[in-house]
Amino acid sequence: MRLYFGGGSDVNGAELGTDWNDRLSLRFSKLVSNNFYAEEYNVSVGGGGNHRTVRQLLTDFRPISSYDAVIIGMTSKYRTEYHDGKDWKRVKVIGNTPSKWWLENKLSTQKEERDFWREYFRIHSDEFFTFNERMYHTTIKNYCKLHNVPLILIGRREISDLEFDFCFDEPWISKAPKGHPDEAGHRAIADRINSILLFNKDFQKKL
Amino acid sequence: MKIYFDGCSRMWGGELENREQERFSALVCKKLNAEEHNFASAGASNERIVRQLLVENDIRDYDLAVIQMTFPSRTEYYDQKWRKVTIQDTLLWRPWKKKKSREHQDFWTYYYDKIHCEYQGKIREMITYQTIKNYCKVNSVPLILMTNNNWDTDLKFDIEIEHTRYPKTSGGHESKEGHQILAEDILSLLTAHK
Repeated sequence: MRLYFGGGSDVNGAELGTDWNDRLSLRFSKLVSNNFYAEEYNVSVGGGGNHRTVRQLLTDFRPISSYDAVIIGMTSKYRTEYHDGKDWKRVKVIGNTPSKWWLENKLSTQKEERDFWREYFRIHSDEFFTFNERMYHTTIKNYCKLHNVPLILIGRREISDLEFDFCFDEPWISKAPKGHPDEAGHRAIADRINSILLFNKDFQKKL
Repeated sequence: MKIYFDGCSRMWGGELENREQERFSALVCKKLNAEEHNFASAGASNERIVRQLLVENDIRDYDLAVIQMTFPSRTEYYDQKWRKVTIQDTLLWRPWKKKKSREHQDFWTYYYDKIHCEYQGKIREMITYQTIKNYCKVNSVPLILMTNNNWDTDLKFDIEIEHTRYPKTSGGHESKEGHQILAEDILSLLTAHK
């Protein structure tokens, strides 16, 4: 059994443990995978945007049908990425609810091409980001549905009106100082994912 | 029967004298006695096509979708209204057409000169392609997918418009005869599909 995890820092396990190895053993993707004796395949990255998540899902080296479930955390609609000819570069919109003013005037987290990206946020209105978020949401759902792969879609209520299985900012998930789920939060998320999967008929067939 | 059409000027009927009668979407619908719903627009991007398909319309209202994807270098953004961003070819940056100035010209010039690259365009094209195909399949709407980017794409389409089979006008769009042949090809695909 193999499970696919994609998204941003919430899925990546930001603020967990004291070093990278701590994080790997404490994050919910590992806990869920252990529960089902499954291989954990976690492609999330801190600061990752929805474009990146969709790109990774659609271009993964394995066909999606080789995964027994897909668990994705959608992130801020303002995040984006571009390819500089060598690598994909994240446009670093840190935090979940940056104000439009901050994006248009500060964007101090963006080190490369900062002036260009400030201008990008000046001329792209909220409508653009909201439409894009909806398109990514539909694309992820359809892709998994077409290949009969159970999907758990997680969001953040404070930044999106879309429908999710649950959201990282719900009060039952305890948080670390910077707002990511803490160790207990990851355990609670893992428990919730485990129970959603166990009630999913397509997933039951794989057990 | 209702048919959903979308694309750029190739689907819109660019350079045709009597566009609404002569374009291939009208010819196909006339032959099938179907309602034509053509949402194409000159200079449209793949992002616009996906937005209109997923968000602005309900594909379940239609019996068939005929969608023509375009050059992946094109894009769109929203500033008080949806605005198209169109460059003339797929690979290299060329100055904007002189005849009209455009909004945020310096920004988009910098974008094409320094930010956009061909690889990014290819990946975006692939995501759009998958999104359109999956969306129609999930909603059980048969799809004919076309492109005018067939010289540069590795993706497989039902119809590749940039072909000598379809006669062109001086501006590069399909002529009246080109549209007739395109209509015949679509009808043949539908017959084969049955």
